[in-house]
Amino acid sequence: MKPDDGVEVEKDSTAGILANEISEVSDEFLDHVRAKIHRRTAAAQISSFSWRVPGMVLLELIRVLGFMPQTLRGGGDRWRSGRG
Amino acid sequence: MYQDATIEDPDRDLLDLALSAREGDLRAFEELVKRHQGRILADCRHLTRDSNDSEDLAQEVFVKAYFALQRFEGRSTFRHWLQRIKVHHCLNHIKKTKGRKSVALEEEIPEDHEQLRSTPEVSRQLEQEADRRRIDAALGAMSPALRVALVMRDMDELSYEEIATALGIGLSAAKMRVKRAREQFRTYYLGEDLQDGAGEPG
Repeated sequence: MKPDDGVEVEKDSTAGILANEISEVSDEFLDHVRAKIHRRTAAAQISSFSWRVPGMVLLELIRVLGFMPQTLRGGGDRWRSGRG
Repeated sequence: MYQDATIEDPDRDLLDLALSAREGDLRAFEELVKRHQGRILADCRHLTRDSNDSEDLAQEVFVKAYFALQRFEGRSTFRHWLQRIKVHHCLNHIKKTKGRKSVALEEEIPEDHEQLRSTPEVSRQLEQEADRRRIDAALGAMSPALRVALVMRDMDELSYEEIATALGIGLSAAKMRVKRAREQFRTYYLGEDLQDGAGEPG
């Protein structure tokens, strides 16, 4: 064992006893890790999308409002011509 | 960014695959999980003494590691990096649950079932079980402050500087704490032998 602050670590020291401690994991452990990763990824995507939605709505509104004068001019002409 | 690190890392190949995998492709990362899950779970159990939450905590460590993977720079091994994530996660959990009693880790002693009649393999398994129980009991008997320091040093192999930083204490205090923790652990772990008159370990 490598020296520990200049002191040789004894064979039966705690580092030797604890170094190889391993626990049995449940069969579902990996499934749970995978599910948590997917949930967090999905949540991040939804959150990112929800930030963009107000901007998209605003742009669409501007586009619609931009068409309105044309629509109104076109509708007025048709009315005057009796075709409305 | 993960650089060409000079540190020998047995997980290097899997790490490269995990880092270059497409989003949603967890196969390489899952292999890393399988390699380290037993150790991480053991550490979480011993650090928090909370059998109810230890598996959840261990899972969350891997989730955190997955989302931090792009920031892994290779200046330490992956295992060491993972241990640091685990230590901070468990310490946060301990702070949140301070004052709440944690459930003692109970492990059933394998019954002397027909299937467990002594074969060399079964005897070895029973010895390992008994040893794990002794370690568990010894760690459980220790004060939390000493136990945490001991686990961080002798299981997680963190440096004294890292222990001092994580616990918010000075370097000398960290070294002293680990020294006292080892003495206390030895006392509890070898307690039976001492009572049998086997003498102090060397």
